[in-house]
Amino acid sequence: MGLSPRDEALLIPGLVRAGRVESPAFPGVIPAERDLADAAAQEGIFATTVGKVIAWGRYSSLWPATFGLACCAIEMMAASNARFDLARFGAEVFRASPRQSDLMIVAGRVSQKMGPVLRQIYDQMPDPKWVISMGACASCGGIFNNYAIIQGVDKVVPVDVYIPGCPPRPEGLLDAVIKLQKKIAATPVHGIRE
Amino acid sequence: MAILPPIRGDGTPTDTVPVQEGVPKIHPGGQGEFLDKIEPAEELMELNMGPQHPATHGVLRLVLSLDGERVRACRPDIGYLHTGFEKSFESHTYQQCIPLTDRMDYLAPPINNFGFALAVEKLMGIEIPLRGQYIRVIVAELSRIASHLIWLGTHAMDLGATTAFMYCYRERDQILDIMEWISGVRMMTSFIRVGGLMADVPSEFVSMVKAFTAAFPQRVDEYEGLLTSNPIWRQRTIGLGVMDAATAIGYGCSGATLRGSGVPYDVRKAQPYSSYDHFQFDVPIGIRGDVYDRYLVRVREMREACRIIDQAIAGLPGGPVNTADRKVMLPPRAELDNSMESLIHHFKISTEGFRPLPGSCYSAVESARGELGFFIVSDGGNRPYRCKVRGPSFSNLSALSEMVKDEMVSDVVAVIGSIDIILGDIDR
Amino acid sequence: MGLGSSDLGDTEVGPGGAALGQGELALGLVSRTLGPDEFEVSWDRAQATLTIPIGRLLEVATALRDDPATAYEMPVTMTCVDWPERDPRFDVIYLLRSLVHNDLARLCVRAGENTPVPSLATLYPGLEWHERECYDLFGLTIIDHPNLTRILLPDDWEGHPLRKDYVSFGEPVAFTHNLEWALSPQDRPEYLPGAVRGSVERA
Repeated sequence: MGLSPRDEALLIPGLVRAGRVESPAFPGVIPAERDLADAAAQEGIFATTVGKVIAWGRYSSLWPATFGLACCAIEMMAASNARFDLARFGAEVFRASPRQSDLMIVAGRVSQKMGPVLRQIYDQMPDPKWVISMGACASCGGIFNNYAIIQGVDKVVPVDVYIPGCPPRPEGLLDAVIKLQKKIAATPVHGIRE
Repeated sequence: MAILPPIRGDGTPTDTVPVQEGVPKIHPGGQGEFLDKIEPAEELMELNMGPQHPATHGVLRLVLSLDGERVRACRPDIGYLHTGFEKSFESHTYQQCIPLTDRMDYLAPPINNFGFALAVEKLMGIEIPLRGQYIRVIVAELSRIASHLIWLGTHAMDLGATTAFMYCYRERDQILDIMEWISGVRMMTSFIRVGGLMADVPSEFVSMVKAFTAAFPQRVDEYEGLLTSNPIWRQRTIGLGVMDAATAIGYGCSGATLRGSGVPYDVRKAQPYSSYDHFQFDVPIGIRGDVYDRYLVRVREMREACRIIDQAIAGLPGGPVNTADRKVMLPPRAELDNSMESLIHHFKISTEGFRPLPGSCYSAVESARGELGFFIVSDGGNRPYRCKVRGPSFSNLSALSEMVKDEMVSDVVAVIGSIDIILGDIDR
Repeated sequence: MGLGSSDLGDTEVGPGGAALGQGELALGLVSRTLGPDEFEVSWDRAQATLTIPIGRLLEVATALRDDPATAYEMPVTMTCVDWPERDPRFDVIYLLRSLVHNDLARLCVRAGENTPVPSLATLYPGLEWHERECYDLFGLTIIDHPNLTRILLPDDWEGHPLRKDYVSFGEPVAFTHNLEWALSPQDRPEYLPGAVRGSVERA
C-alpha cells in the first residue's frame, strides 16, 4: 500500500483511495499518496489546526455593537442595508448590548462627554474584541481640532483598523471588515506566548 | 495552573491597555438632584436610557422617572455630541464654514449649506441667479426626502417594522447617487456655497431626477401600504405623545413636530426664500398632535417635496448658477488668462475670502426637522464674529418631557422617533 | 384620516398675505411701554434690533407675548455675542416669533459676566434650554432659572468656550515647520532639510 505503519494505524476505516488513479497522460504511473490529509480530503475530511478553525469562526461572525455616534453611523446603516450588504461578511447582527458583541465600530466623532461612556462600553465587551475606528473624526479628530472633540478614539480604546473618510463610503467599511478578518485570521488564539 | 488575564484578539491583556492622560473620567454630576425636584407623591424609579441605545437616534441620554411602567418625568441629557461648531465657525472664513455646516444635520447636509449660504448672502446683500436658486431648491427637496426616508425607516424599525428600513434605504441610495453625480460626494456634499453652487449640474442631472420622481410616489404608496392602515401601527401610534398647539409653540417647536399639532407654520411659506414662492405645494398639518399625525405629516411632506422637484425641473431656466459678484465667487478660470482684475479677485477670495460689512442678520430655512436658523454677526472681517445656529431639534427635543408624561415606558421610543431629532443639530 | 391641509393656499406667504415682518410690531409695543431714552432700535439688513434695559426685560417680554396685537408666542432662539473689550461684554439676543402676525422680533440686552439676567423660562418654556446653553458656553449669570446646569459640556468642565478669551485647541497638527510640537524631544531631528523653523506662537 505504500503507507508507513503510523499512517496505517491512523487510517480511517472505509477510506477509499480514489486519488490513486492512473492518469492517461502518464501511463503506467500510479501517483503515491502524499499524506493522510490528502487521503482524508477524498472523503470530505479536511485537516487543519484548531487555531485556524477558531479564527475562522471568530471573523466570520463578528457581532458589532451599535455604536453609531454621528454621520458615519448613517453610512454604517447604509452598509448593512440591501445595496452594500454587510451580511455577506457575517457582520450584520448588530447587538444593542455590548455584553453580546465582539466588534465595536466607533462611527462618528467622540466628544469629551462621550469619552468615558465609550470606554465603559468597551470594557463591558467580553474578550476577544476588536475595534474599528470609522471615519476621520474617530481616527484622529477629523476636521474638528478643538476643545470639544477627543482627537482620535485611540486615546481611549485600542483600535485595530482605521478607516479614513468623512464619511467613508460603505464600501470603505466593508473593506475595513475584510481587513479585520484577515487580521483575526493571522492572530494566534492560544494566548500570550511567554 | 495560573489563571491568565483576559486577552484581546491580538493577545494583549485587556487590563494593561491604558486610557490616555487627559481623557475625562465618568462624571457623577446631575443624577441625584433630579429626583428632588419632583413632588415625591409616589415612589419613583429613575431609569437611564442611553447614551448608547439603539433607539435614541444618536447619543441621547434620557433619565426617566418611572412609577411602575408610567413615565412621570423625563429629562433629556444632551451634549454627548457637542462638537464646538460655533467656536469653529469663528476661526474659518465664510466659505470655509460650508463644509462644517454639512456635519450638523447630517441626514440632510445640503439643507444646512443652504441655510448658511442664504444667511451669508443676506449679510452680503447678494442674490444668486434664478437657475442657481432652482437647483438649490431641487437639491434641498431631494435631501428632505432622503432625510424623511431615514426617519421613516428608523422610526418603523424602532417599532418593530423592519421591512420599511430596507425599503427606505433603497430610495435613499438613489438620491445619494444623484448627489454623488453632481458633487462627487454621497453625503457631505458642500454643494451649495455662498454665492451659488459648487458648479453647474451635469447634463444627466435632469434625467436622473426625473427618473427618480417618476418612480417615487409609487414607493411612498408602498410605505403607506405597510404602515398607514396597519392596525398594529395605528394602535401603537394613535393617541400617543399628544402635544397641543399652545405647548408646541411655547417650546419653540417647528417642522412636522409643530405641524402635527395643527399649526400651519412652514418657513417656506411664511418667508419664502430662493424662489419657493414660484412653486405650488401644500403644507400638511395634523389634527390631534400625536405620533400618528406627525407620521402622516412627514409622509405627505415627502410627496409634496416630490411635487416641488417636478415643478422646479420642468421650469429650470438656463443661465449662470453663481453670482456675478467677483468679490464673493471665484471667476471662471478662462478669465484668469486675460484679466488682471479677475486674477486679483481669485487671489483675494482664495486667500482671504470676502468681508461683509459689520452688523448682524438672522435667516432661516425649513430643514427636514423644522426651522433651521443662522444668526451671524460680522465685525467686518473675513470670518464670522459669532455664528449662532438655531437647530430645530434642540427646541423640538425640549418638548419631549411634555409628550411622554404619563405614557408607558415602552412607548417612549415611539415618541422620540416621531420628533425626528438629530443630535448634530441639538449638540452642535 | 387625521390629517388636514393648511389653509395657506399655494403661494400665500402668511395669514393675511403679509410678508414677514422684521420687528415693527415689537418696536411699536416697546416704544409705547418704555420711555424714548430707555431703548434703542437699530436697523440692519432690514431687521430691527431693540436694545432694552435688563430691568425691563421680563416686563417687555411678557407684554410682547400676551398682547394680542403683537402675540410673540414662539421663542425662536436666544444667544449671546461676546465683545470682550466692551463693558458690559455680552449682548444677549432673544429672537421671538409671532405666528399670528408673521413677525420676527429681536431683543437685545447688555449684560456683563456677573450681571444677573432674569430667566424667561416661565414665559417661554423653550428658552429654558437656551438659557442653560448660554450659561454653559458663555458663563452668563441667569437668575430664577428652574435648572441652571451645564447642558452641552460635562458638568465638571472649567471655562466657558464661546468667550473670546477661551482658546480652543485640540492638538497640534504635524507639519514640517512645527515638528517640534508633534514629536517628543528625543525624536526631533537635528536638522530638517528644506523646513523653516517657525516660532511656537504661530497658530
